[in-house]
Amino acid sequence: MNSKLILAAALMIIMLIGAGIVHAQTTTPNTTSTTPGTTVTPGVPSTGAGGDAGTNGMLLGASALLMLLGSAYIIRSIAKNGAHEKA
Amino acid sequence: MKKPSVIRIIGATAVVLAAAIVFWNTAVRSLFYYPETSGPEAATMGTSAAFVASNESGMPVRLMIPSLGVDAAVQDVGVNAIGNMRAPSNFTDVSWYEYGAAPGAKGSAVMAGHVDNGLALAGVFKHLSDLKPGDDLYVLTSKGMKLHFIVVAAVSYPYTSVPTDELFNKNDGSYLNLITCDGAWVAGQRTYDHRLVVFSSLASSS
Repeated sequence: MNSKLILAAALMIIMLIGAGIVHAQTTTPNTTSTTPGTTVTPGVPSTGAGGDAGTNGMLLGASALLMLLGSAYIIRSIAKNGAHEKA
Repeated sequence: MKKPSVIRIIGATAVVLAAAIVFWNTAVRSLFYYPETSGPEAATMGTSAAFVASNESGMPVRLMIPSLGVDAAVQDVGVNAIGNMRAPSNFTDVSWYEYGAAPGAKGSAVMAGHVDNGLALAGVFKHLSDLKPGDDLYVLTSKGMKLHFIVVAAVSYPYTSVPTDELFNKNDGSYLNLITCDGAWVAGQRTYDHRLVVFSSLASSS
């Protein structure tokens, strides 16, 4: 049962990391071309990220939940180990 | 009582560590932005105005917009890897395009600021659209000068058709143009579909 839980959590982590990487790698195309060796006018900057707030919130929430559940499991297991050794 | 397996505890620890990495990475990116990768810089963008500015009024160090309560530090930037002017590396500073005109010199100095961050918190230019013609802008320079600009117009353009030659004009006048994101979010390209440009003209320097 616990092995399945850990496997599911590990799978979730992999998906979260994957989502984060895809999220970070998407870039905004420029509106002008650049030719090496010549002075060019730059494209406009991208100056906002508020549209990502939902995705970022979800990533933060899911990873925080995993940290809490994982930590609780570790603490409980260590306590059980201690009790087992006393017995 | 059944003893929990050490392997399971190690597995759980790995899961917690991975979750912590995702959490930290997302939090930093959302709150502060990662600095953009630098582009070709001086090799293709011409002479830095920083050199010219150092002989005239100095480099811009702060931008103040009294009507919006903005008093922001200025970062000197070039272009990013895809040829766009770089945005500031956080959502509280503004960036100045150092290969264009310097504030107070001939041409249009351009400063960019974020409208919001990855958790939808307000950026330095969140309320830029509230500026009206006649409003005051001030730039403090590294030589202690205070340049006073007056807003002339504010225009929102689709982000693919901003008149960049006018925005980054090097030929006449002495202007300061502020730019930020505007409009609706385009999820596929992770940017807003408009850019708000506030045009201002030099009134005095002291």
